[in-house]
Amino acid sequence: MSGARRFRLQSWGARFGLAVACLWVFTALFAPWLSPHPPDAIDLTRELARPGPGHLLGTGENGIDVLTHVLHGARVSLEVSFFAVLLSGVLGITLGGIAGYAGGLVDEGLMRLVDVLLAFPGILLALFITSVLGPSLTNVVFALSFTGWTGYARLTRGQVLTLRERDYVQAARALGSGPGRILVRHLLPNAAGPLLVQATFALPGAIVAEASLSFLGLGVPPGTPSWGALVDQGTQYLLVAPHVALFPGIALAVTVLGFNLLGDALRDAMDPRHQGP
Amino acid sequence: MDVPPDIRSVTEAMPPLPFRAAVRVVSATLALLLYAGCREKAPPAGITVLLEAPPDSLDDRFALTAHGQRLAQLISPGLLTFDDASSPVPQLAESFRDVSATVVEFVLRPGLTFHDGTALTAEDVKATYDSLRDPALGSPKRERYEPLERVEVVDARTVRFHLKRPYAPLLAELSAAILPAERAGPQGIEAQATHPVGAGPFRFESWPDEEHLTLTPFAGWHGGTPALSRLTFRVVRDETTRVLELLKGRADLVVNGVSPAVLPALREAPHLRVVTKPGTGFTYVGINLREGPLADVRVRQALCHLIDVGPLVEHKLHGLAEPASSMLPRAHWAFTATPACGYSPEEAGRLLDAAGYPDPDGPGGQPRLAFTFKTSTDRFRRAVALVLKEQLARGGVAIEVRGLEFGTFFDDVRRGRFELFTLKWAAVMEPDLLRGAFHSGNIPGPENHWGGFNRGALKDPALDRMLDAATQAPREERRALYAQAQQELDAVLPVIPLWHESSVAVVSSRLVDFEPSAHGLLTPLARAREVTPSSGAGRTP
Repeated sequence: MSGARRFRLQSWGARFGLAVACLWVFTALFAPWLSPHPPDAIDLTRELARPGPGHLLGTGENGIDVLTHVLHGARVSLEVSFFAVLLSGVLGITLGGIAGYAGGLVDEGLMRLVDVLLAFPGILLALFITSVLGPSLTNVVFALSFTGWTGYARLTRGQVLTLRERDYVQAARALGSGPGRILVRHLLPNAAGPLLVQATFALPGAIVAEASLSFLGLGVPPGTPSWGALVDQGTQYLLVAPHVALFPGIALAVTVLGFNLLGDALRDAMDPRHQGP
Repeated sequence: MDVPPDIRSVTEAMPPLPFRAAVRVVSATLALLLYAGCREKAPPAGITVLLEAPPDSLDDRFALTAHGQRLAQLISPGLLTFDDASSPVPQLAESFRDVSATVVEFVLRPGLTFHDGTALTAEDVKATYDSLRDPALGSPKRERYEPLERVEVVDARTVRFHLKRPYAPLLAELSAAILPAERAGPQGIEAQATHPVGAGPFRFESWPDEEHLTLTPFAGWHGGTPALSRLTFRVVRDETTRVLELLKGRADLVVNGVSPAVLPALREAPHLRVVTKPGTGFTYVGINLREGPLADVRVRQALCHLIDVGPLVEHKLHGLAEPASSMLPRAHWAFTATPACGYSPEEAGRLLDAAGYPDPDGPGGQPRLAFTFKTSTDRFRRAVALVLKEQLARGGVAIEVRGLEFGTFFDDVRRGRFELFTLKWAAVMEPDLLRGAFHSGNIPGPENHWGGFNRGALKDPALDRMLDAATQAPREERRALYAQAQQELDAVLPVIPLWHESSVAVVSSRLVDFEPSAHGLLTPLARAREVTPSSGAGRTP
């Protein structure tokens, strides 16, 4: 039975994770049509109103609609996490592949660079970058990708080192294939499984990192809907309006849990040690 | 009776009696510890005041933060203090008078003593001000005393300040803490920093770490012994925690440390009351006048007409502020009512048309103008900036709000890297602050280490002359000059005044007769009384 089939049929975590991921993507894509109010609409007279008709999840600071911001927050988290993972992935896989295949000084140099970057706490570096460059979606993606690629680079290098002496690679080399072709056509496709698992785990990491930066006021620009920014807003009013922090907090927790379960299921499905006879 | 084999085996397997007893004792102890841990801790004796940040120093000569200065005033007050109208009133001094344009004479109250029992005399006053001007001491406030030529001791209770030139604002600087002469010099810095001595209503007891400070009432205070058994200051940085501490009865006072939106929850608590007083803090929108559309006064006036302060004060500040027309609050002795711009989108449109910024495609389309608006990451300031964005957008002015980490934000403001920003002056007491904020000699630059307060770079020679003249004039003349200055500022509009925030104190029922100061000072604690729950009466010291 193939790993993919086991993943589909047997894992409840995968089913839950997939459902959350699909709901998240759907919400993010259709947020403007699902939202009852424009995201920049404010109404000072309705500030911190409790959930009720007109504002199903209540209102927050300046009278913003919490439901609208939760829905649009999904859009922001999708944009940031997708592009951060994509950028990290492309950079990490390229550099890791080169390091693993070329070996020698190139490998040494790239891996020491990875070591240096990993020595810094990622979120601290991201905080530094966004505080210098200022809050914006692009800067958050850049800040998260700045250290995010290192995980992909290490993983790709390890996979390439394992695979590059395989018979089919030797055969491709004997037939005259160049390093680039071998990497792209033979090595990376066979390393895709672990990389996909890595990406699945990186996605919730990026979502939480974006929320953390926004919570500290260094993520998205003020006024941009974001789960982290909404939780930040709500913490000040926990006693008088707990709903402001509660609903984005639930959205954040469920999404991260869903992706982690999905990642777990994917890893189990891809890992031969977890496969039956 | 035979014991069933399974039970017997269990009984035999049980440890001997002493061990079981020990297990019981340990269990009981753990349960007790758990109970003690879960039980509400009793609040410390006396009155507990919560602060948002620790004081930087208890030596007034070095204290630069508001908390440092306010706590230092409780321990070591000065010759003068300021009433709610920002007028100087005697504190340790009994009276003061102008002997000439360059000589001010102070007479000390009779019988003043320091906390260590020694008498406070004119020699101590002279030693204190000499130390403030001494480069060897290194006080960051030394520059403020540049106009002071010398301090003369006339007799034990009389001291004269001789100035190099007439300089009325110096009076504001004569509220500096008076220290014992032997502690005033550089050799006394360490002693004063660790165990401060003064002649204030409260004497220092302990400061074990930066989070806790304890003071006790001083029986020799000229205003009578404060009716509080002890004062404990505790630093609680998180606002929600401060609110919870008040609600749980573990704190008795927070001054200006709770957001207006949270106050309704505190008003509902039967053991708490919220006391307010019109304040002197000034919130404004700063404008860069150096170049671009904002250099045109018509554009600045248009922005002012588009901002509707009323709803902000009513809903964001819950009425705990007064719309501002000037940097000086309404109760200030030098305040003069000016017409102010007022909310008028039609007038704004007319001004923008006249300035050459017509609406390109009618309401709601392309903006007439676009600016960046910088603010710190402070939640309240960001929220206000978003409301202003919405209000300005209605008039065709688009702004992009940038929330920056405070250090970056403030550096940008000091170096003129902004178009619009919002900031707040914590307390406006001495009207000479107008000269600091709007005189062309105070534009930040390398020559003043970017420390000038005229951050928008206003250059108005007529205003400069008025503000310079006001520093050398007698009080009534100063009032007239500041009136002219406020009218000029209203016309050229280098900043858009927003509001003066009220001073708000949340007080527990254990503390009575506490009335907040307009400036957010802690000195009203000297007149407050502590009530014990059992007696319900004021404590007699």
